[in-house]
Amino acid sequence: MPQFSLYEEEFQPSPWQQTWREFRTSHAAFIGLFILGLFVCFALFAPLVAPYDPIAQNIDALMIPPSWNMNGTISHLFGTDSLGRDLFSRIVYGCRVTLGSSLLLVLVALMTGVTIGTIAGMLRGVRSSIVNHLLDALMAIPTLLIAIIIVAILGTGLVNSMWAITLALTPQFIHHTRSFVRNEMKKEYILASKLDGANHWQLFFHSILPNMIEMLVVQGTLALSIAVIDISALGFLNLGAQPPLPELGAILADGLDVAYLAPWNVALPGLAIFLIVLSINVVGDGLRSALRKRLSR
Amino acid sequence: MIRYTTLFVLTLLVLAALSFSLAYLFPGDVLVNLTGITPQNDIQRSALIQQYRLDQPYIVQFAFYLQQLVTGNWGYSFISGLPLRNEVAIALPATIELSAYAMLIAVIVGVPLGCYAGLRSYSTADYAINTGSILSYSFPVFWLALVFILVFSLELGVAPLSGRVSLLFDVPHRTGFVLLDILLADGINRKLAFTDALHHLLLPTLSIALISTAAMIRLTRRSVIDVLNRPYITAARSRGLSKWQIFFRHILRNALLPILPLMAMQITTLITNAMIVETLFSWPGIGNWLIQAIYQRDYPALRIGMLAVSSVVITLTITIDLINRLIDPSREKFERATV
Amino acid sequence: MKSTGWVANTCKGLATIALLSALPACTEHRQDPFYQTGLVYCSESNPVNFNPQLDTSGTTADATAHQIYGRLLDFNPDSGRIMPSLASSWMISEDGLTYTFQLRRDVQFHATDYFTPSRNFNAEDVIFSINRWRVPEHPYHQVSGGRYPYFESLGLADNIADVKQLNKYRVQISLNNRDSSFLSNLATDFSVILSAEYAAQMMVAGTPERVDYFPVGTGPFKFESYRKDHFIRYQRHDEFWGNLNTADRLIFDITPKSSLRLAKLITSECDAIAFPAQTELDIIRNRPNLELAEKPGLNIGFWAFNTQRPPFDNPDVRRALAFAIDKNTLLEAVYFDGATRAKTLLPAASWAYQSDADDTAYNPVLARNLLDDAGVEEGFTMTIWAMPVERAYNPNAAKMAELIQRYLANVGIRANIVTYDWTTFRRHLREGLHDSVLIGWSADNGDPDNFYRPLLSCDAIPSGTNRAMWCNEDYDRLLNQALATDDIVKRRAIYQQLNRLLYERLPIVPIAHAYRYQAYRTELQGMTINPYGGVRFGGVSKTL
Repeated sequence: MPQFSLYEEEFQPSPWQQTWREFRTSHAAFIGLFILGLFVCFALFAPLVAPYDPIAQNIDALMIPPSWNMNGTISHLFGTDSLGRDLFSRIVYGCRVTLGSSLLLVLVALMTGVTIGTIAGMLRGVRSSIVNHLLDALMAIPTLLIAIIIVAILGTGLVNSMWAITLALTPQFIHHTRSFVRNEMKKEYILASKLDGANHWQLFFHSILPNMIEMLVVQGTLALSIAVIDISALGFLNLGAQPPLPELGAILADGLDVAYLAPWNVALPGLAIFLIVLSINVVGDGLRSALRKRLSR
Repeated sequence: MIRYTTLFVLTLLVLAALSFSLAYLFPGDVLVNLTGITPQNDIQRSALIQQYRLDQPYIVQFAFYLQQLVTGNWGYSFISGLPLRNEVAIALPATIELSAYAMLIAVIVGVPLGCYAGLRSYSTADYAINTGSILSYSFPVFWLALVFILVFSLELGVAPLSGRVSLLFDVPHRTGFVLLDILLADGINRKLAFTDALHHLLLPTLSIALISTAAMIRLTRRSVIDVLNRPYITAARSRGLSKWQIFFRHILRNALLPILPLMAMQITTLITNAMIVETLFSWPGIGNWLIQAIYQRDYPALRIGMLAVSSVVITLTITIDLINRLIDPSREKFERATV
Repeated sequence: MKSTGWVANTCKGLATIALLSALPACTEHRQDPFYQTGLVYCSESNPVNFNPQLDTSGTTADATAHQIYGRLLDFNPDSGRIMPSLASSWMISEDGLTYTFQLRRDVQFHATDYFTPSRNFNAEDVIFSINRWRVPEHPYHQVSGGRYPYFESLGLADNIADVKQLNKYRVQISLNNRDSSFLSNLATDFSVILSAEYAAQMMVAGTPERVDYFPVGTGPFKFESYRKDHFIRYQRHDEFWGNLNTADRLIFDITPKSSLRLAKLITSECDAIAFPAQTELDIIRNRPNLELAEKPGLNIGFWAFNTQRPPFDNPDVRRALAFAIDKNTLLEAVYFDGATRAKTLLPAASWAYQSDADDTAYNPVLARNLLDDAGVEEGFTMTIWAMPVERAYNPNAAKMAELIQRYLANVGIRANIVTYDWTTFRRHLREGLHDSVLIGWSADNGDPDNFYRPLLSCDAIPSGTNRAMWCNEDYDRLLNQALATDDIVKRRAIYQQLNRLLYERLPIVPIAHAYRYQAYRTELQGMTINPYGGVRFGGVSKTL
């Protein structure tokens, strides 16, 4: 017997599909997503994309200009640096290091933040207020300062700078999760689940988390753009990734010594960071306005 | 009010405790990290340990540390051997000055542009402003500063690229704010020095301001759009108020209030950017100083620098929160949102 | 420049539109006559103190030797001959053991905020300055650390028997052994004349170390103030006895990054810069308002092995490592042809240069075999210390270290690159914590002894200039033989013997002799390049 449906003709898209639809209507956001996807591909398949080993020096090819320059060659698309390393390969691997480590640290920050935030949100009273004040204090300390302190204690290195940025990003996730959970806890559907006898654990996984994911994605993109900028800034200041590890900020700092002779060594890695951050911001913006439109419908 | 004072004092205490614990966390000798003095022999060493109460429980040490902080005895730089208080007194105002000008530009340019974009939301002008702001918001500040240097200093030669004022001017240190110091200085050509200092300010301020302005625009625009959708605006329209009346009486106030706490958040970003830009423009501020300190592993300097910067930021944040509460008591405390 | 063009154009369009409206017309503001009253020199690092007797680093010497202080003798910058300075004439006895100096009258010391001289320069000051480093019992000997590395590395204190005052303006120095390089040593950056009166005052005040941090000298500039990592300010010494056509003020703007120094030179924030990077020389040559002076430098960049640490105590291991690297590539990649290949310690500019000396050649197979014979297995790990500062003799030690790292990887040796800030770096070197180090030496005078002795003699180990920590009796004996004669032919033969010895033992691998460059703006008048040691700004002025 065929299923009888009163609304057979109407397709009811899930909230995600609705958001995606809204998202697609914005061309800018879509292009942003495409570019971001490209960078993610670079990051994932760096060894396949990059024509050269990013740290292989080639004494016979020092500071070759990019291929579109009169003196450039097609074998080095973006030219080479002062040690003859292929800049394109370095940037591709740089995306892997910079974007990859940023994604990783945002995930860590997100999970820590959600855990602490949920606990703080479900608790009430003094403990919550203390957490709140401590977070405020932590949030007020500039990332760079946290990074400097961590570097002073643990020494320089990509992983240490990732810890620093994770530490700086986590409070924001805690804040948002906490206020989100608080608001949700007041809602009736939670009350209903509670009356059904759901415990905290079940409440969180079955009722709150599904509703929170969108907020987390939006916050995640924001945090990601900050993470990329911070990771590369620390690399640039020689406090994060250490050469010869190809990290975009460190590559840029390397290029600074020959900024005059080989300006592409400064321009292109910088452009890569800029494009990554831009595409993340555009996607984040698109997501947010898509969400907003969906909710206002 | 009392709540804020307690909060403020408590936060400062936490920061002081943190900076005290850094002396233990940093590699090397606790005594050296805490004082910046490397004892030459065992006698001097035990004398110092006694003086700094390092032979007593942590809580006594900390109490003594607090007392030292309050009396202004902050220890000595491990590398230069100078009292840290003097070093900070020179470096911190330079950073505050740079950030203040950048913030000023961000507010003066960002708020009107954001309002305009918000009022004309989804028009071409809005689209253009929005695009511009998302572009400049995505610049890594160090790269932007480098591009500025390349274009404006080296290619066009419009502005110098290092320092606060040409070293030929011997501007004595009074307030630490270079423009004020020049006005207070004797025996130099003040007008010439002032123009010179403005030229030096140009590029670093712009590099930071561009990013902060973009953030300001986006905040204001969002806020204005939100207010526009409120029922009281519809009500005001239906009462027949003119556009300008609605804007000034209802929109502006209600849109700017929620931005205030967000500005507090921006300060953290602003200071971080200022610290990075300082290293590029050899600006003798606290960021430059701290980064030199980390390169040279000057632990006493890091300990104090961290305390100084975070105290300044916390003070600002809490003040803004306080002002916010005074203007608009209905708001939930410590509200945060994103750009 | 073509290459900067395209970046600039891309950015120009974007940025000009956004910002040009905000810019006042300001290219002319530096035309004010005020800007020609002072010279700004972008130096590369902080001086350790303000007394070059206490430190051999070029930075300290640059900031003090020719600016603040005077010496008994000087080198003529053109001919390299010794010429009178604070000593107007001198006499050497028949046996070469007694030197008598006639001092210049009417030379005034600096009058500063912290010291007002009551008398002119005289024999007392000479005796004080020499005895400070010579006599261990001298009340000032232990002040500020009590190390006098330049004089210690030459063993000069032991060779001077006595310094006597004959009358107020006449000083006699007697030696134990003949030393044909003695006059040259008195003309170096380190043999400065301090004020005995100031030192006595400070001793009474209980702050003797102030002498080395708030200097008083007879040079063309007097010290005004110093802020670490930022600047050193000097004022013209109006009573200077020599050339008076000098700018009112001199400022050392401490700028460690060479690219930034060049940038400041272009924007005219600096009038002259220290150590332009080899890569950037063409830019300076191509700019009409910049001047690049060059001379073959009296320097050597080398790779030294810590011969007190196994396995580097084995000459065969050192030889293997020397064969593992291709010096020509290093020259190209690091010096950009601004240097000549070094076979021995001496550059071609020295009279004792040996053109047919033995040299190591790139041969990784031989290197591997030698290593196998010496029992150094594949995967052996060592450190290469790369100095953190740029020097003419090695403009980019970090880059050279990376290149060597790869060469060593080819012969199965893993190398870790180590670096610290300059002060710590040198302290750790002195303590001998390194396996090998990339560093070099700029000669202070043209005498070959100034290369061979400080770099590799036994005495130079404690004074911290013998980076190989190498001590060889034959070597020291030959060195002393060379000083005992004035016969150039005999001396040259001895130095050739030394070259052979060094080639056999290879405590260091000589890499390059770099040209010496000085870049300044064309507005400066009177700049000369000095092959021996530091810059000098006495007699330099600026017209816009």
